[in-house]
Amino acid sequence: MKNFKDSLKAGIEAAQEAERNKKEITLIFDNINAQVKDISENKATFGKVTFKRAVDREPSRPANIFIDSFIPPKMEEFEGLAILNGNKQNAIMLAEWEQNSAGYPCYIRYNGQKFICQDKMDLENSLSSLLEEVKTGEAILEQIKKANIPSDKPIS
Amino acid sequence: MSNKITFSWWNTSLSPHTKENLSSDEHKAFVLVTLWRLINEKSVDVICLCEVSTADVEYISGMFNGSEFSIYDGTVYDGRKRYDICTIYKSNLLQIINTDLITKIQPDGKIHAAQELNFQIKEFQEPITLYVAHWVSRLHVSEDDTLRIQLGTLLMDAVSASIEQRNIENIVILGDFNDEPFNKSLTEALFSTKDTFLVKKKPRLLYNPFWRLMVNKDLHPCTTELWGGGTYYHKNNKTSRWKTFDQIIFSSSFLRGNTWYLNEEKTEVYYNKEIIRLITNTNSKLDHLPVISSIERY
Repeated sequence: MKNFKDSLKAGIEAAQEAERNKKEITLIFDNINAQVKDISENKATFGKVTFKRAVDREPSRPANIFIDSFIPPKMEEFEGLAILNGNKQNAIMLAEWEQNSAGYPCYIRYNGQKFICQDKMDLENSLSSLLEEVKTGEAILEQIKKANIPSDKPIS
Repeated sequence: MSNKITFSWWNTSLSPHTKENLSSDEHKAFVLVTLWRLINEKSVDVICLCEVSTADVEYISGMFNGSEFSIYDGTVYDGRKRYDICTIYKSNLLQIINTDLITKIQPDGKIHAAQELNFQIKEFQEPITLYVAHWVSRLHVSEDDTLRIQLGTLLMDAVSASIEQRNIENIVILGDFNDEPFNKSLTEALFSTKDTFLVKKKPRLLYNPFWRLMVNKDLHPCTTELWGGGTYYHKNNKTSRWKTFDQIIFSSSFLRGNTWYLNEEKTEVYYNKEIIRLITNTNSKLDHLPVISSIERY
């Protein structure tokens, strides 16, 4: 009978390595989140968010603009990195995020570039670059600005 | 209905690194004539070019105005670095979905492994992804520099993500790698091989048909062949003037009997007397031959 123990051990080790990698990535995100909260006085946060977008659909054949206008667009879900408000809502997307089932490599996509991160150092370098972007600064400022607007509660 | 897609790759030498927009009118005209020949003599559907500037892409676009071809201008200026690629494709055959420059941030700056172009094959509503690469010259980075391995690994990671995360089976990599099919960057980092048996058995491996095109077909003493075997001519190289730097590499799905297959008979280095004369002429800037490969549908 073939001995499968070595294969099973390799599978378990791979799963443990993947778990370690994912924890490491979560810690990096938690660290950024803490620093975003700190500089925004808890008015902005950072995190991974699931977004939805319309997928390009081929027009009907033969093409019928009238029919096409009544067909709802096909939607797909994708993960992104975002700046959110202090309650982890109203996400402003900074980049798309993809992750291998082993944790690494992971992929950050924005401004026409896909940054490939093969380890912790790559991920930290790529995230630093993303955080230096003007749009990241603008997103944080927008969340702070919204948090500073007084709510329209009726005066009792 | 089209049951084949023919790809071509060519380093045009129009705007090499640091010598942007300095090509002669004759050189530019010759590029247009060669593109016309590739389309009309070889029925090419997709042509990826490198060493082109934004102005070169604009010039080339003029030839395709009102035709069935579209151009994706992939020239990117990223700080001091430039990515010098464009892709001409038949727009009734393919629809471009999105593009990305495959990038890694290192302590000493960014490296770019390829441009990823995600297409939909219109007739069959099937995805196909191209990776278009122009790796650094050996004049700047030597053959054994670790950067070449990093570029191969980075490209392999991008290809793996397309296969595993996005379930894309049809992947074609076209480029001037400034490395030959046997160099470690392409064999040990990108995992491209000449072994069709292994590619069919191990789907993560890639097939590189350009191993077969590293030498000319003439057996000594017969010497009628114009072409010296290879795609790049370097007159002053002491041991081999011709190198096979330009290659088209395929994912295993094209060998495993899926809907699209590689028709290897149509893999070739394109040349004629005129282009060989220009490449071997010291006054001409041209130093690469176009390469062609074709996939067909069962």
